[in-house]
Amino acid sequence: MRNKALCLVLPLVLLGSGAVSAEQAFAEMGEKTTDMATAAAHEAAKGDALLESLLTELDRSKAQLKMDLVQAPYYIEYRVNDVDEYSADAAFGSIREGDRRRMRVLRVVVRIGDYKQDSFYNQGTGSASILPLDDDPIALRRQIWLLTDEAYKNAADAYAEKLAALKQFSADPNPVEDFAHAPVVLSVGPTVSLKVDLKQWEKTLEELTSLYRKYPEVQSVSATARFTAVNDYFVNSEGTIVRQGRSTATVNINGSTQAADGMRLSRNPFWTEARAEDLPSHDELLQEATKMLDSLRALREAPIAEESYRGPVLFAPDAADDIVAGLIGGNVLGRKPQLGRPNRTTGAFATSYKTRVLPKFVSVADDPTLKQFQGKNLVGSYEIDSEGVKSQQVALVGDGMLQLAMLQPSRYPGMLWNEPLTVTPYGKG
Amino acid sequence: MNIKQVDQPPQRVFPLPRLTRRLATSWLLAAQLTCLPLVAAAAAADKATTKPADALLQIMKSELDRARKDLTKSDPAPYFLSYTIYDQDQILIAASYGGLLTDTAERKRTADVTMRVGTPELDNTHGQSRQSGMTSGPLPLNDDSDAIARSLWELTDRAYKRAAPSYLNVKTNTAVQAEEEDKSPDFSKADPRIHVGERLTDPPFDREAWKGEVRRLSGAFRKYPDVYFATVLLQISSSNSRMVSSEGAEIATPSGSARLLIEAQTRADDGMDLLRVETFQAPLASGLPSETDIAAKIEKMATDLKSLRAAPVAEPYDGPALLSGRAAAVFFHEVLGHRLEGHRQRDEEEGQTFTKKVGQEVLPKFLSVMDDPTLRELEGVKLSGTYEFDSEGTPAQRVEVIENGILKNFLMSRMPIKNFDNSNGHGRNQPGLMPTGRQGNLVVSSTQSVPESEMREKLIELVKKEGKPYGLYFDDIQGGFTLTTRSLPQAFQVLPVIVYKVYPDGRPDELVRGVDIVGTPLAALTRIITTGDKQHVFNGICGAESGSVPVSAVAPAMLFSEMEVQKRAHGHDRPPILPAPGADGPASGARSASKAEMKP
Repeated sequence: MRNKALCLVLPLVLLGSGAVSAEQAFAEMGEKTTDMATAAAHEAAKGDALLESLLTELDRSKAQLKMDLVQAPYYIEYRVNDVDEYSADAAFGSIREGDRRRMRVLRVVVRIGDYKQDSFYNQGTGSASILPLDDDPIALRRQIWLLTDEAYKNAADAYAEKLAALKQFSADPNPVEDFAHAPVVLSVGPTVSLKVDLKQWEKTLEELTSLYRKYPEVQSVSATARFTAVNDYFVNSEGTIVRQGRSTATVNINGSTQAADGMRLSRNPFWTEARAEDLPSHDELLQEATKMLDSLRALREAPIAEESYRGPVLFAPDAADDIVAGLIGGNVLGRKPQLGRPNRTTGAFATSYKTRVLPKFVSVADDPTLKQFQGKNLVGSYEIDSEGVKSQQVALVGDGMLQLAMLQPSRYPGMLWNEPLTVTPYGKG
Repeated sequence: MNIKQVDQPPQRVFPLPRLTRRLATSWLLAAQLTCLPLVAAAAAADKATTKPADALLQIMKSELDRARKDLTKSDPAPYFLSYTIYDQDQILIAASYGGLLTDTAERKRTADVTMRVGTPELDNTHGQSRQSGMTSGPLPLNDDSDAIARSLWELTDRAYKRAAPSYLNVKTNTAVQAEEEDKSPDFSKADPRIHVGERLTDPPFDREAWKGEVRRLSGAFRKYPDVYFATVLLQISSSNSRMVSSEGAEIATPSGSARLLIEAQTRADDGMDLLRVETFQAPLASGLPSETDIAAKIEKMATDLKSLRAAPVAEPYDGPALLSGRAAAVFFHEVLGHRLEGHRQRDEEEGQTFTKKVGQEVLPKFLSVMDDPTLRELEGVKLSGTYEFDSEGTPAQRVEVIENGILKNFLMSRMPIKNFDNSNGHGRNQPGLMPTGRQGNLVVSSTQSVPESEMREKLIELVKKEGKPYGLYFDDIQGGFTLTTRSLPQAFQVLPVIVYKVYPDGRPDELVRGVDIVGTPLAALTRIITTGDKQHVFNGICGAESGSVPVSAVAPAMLFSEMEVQKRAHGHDRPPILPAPGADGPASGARSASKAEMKP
């Protein structure tokens, strides 16, 4: 069942054996090529009022942003998610809600200090606000300007607080640098837009949920569909300029009932794809919904497992990837530990560097560059992450050993793995 | 919740990461549901003979009948059940400095199921368990009877599973705890009404044209680099609420509101944020003022902010003060209105300032106060606290709460209190919350008034008599709040934005900033000396236990022999470091000028 495998946000790929070489060829760009590329990126930004406004304010802030008695920023970044989203929700054969919304969310990070020790701490981790939808440079720049001002003042407070907090610890309390150097990325890609037959989808949702008439013993049947087209913008004071589009399509069917003894039973199959065309067809969805309702009916009649069981278990492939992701996924994220802790990262693997964490015959890699796997499009693939760094394949576990070989800089140097900070307006994706 | 606010709705989670606080507030305000009945005809004197011909009402009725019959067999059984379905259409358009921030249209249908288990004397909603009487959820948007019946059935089931255990708890608690002072029953009797209000056919809302106007209006602030935040927000809602109850009530009340909200903010050099808010309200968008009139208000807001930025900070002061009509209206809403809400008279956590003062003088003899939700307009201004039926299906009534200074009545929902057995049509709530006694249109009138133009002279006379260096004139306010529980001081605060020092020696009035009016209710109310001869309206949103509801407060200007002000708490962040975009380059300056003169 693909719905299970796809509930992961991260495309974790299990490899039978052999670690993937973590070596990534990142050609050192010469000064000259960078200048030419920057000029080309600026040229590509022309006509995109949002990107131009971001660059104008970035230049202005880079050159002039400075308060008395406070250092000027050493790094500024702007990230915008330009979101077009449609979602609909139906129950018992009729639409309950149908919403289309557009919004632009800006996030500004201003860092003061230096790469070794900076203000990325508490309120210094950035400020967010919505941006005008119109491509009006003055209106756009006003919001960018205000948020930059706020982020800089917050960074100043955070930096002072952090330096004070660090005084509690003796001997190098911050063994890992706060921020990694990264090569400049210049990539102004095409934008995406929402192209879905919304009326058709509303009809499908209504049909799916009218199945309730055939299942009087099922108490509630509902379904939702959500389509998003997001254009991500990223610019920073190091010179990185990125524009890239991405889209997701999700369908979700929900059925719930109660057994005679009152036990609540529910089933919730769902599908997430990068393109709406890749979702199951109308007929396939009807089949899936029927299957789900049949299984609810069967569950209602099923006896309760009377005894607890302890013994061998066989997980089907779609259950196994869930388990691996659950056990490993969260623990390989490179998250900075609390101030004053000597660890490189947090989680169950914090002290497991180069030790056995899995059986010898298992290796794990994370590869956002992989667009397809066995003919199926992967939703977790991307070219450039939310910090403006090119995505790359990372070997996480090789022959059962946790690997720390990070040849490529990432924005947090302690990272085992460059977390795809795919930020949606609702938080981390 | 102890804090009531006017024009400052309670926090609502907005699905965005850490918005700047200012912006979040304007959203919150925008997201408020304001309903102003637009039914001009349909006289409230409806008879029980009017035949409803509303499909949805019929579905609700038959499902309610079925549920009632089934649930009578359960133990404990409910004695009251009602369904309220809210249909809400809302359009939201917001812009800032000429760029559109938001443009959304939303349709929603939700149902509130009210269930009372036990008896009217003692039921599951008693005391702190009040919210157990209400269960809410979304409903299908079309009138598919099967789907609606099914959804209502599911909600009713949930409602019963919530109400029944709560009733058992209430019974135990009542047995264990000391006897309450007010032994009134939990639910009063009422005559079920049948009324189907007619929907006015709204002229089609021209969304594109309004988008243009909101954009242009917000673009006017480009001329003022010191106005750091400015948003113009238009909220058009049209709603229909239908209610049926096991007592036989059948009520459908369509309503609509158009609200234009303009917020502008600057920051003084000492870090004090200075805010100006203007709201315009009408039942329909076509009733809003012309673009020219609104643009003039915007210019006034911007120049006010400029003057305020330069104004000195006022010092704490106690002495004669003059409140403009709008300021006095908010003062009465907070200080008096909230303390006359019926349910506060029996809740033993409450301060009960006026509970035992019925028949006694609580105000100067020349003042009377009523709350009249049936009033639609006053002095040419549409009132936002108008409604035909309250949330419990009781017809709205004019209630004389204070006559010639003597306390006569309270604002009652169907929760009885000692000596006041019945509702007087003030049980209000926002969808999803249990109703309580609330204000609608609170109107203060006076028999001892002087022409408004002479009020300033009266203030100066008083200042001279008291030998004070100056008096204060409160011209405009943004809202206020009050605390009514026993565990906290019985205090109120009114937040003025435009305050002048008035000198007795002929010097011109001096604008000051950074003070709030503070005090305690009993002391403050007796210090009113005289009033102006014209009533002024403050339209706002009021938040309390039963949620946010639109209200109006109306009062004449008032002269107080004594009023205390305290320094306002404020942030200390500097104004923005870099100049505003467009303010530093000739190109963008020219651009904003051309934008501002774009008019249809």
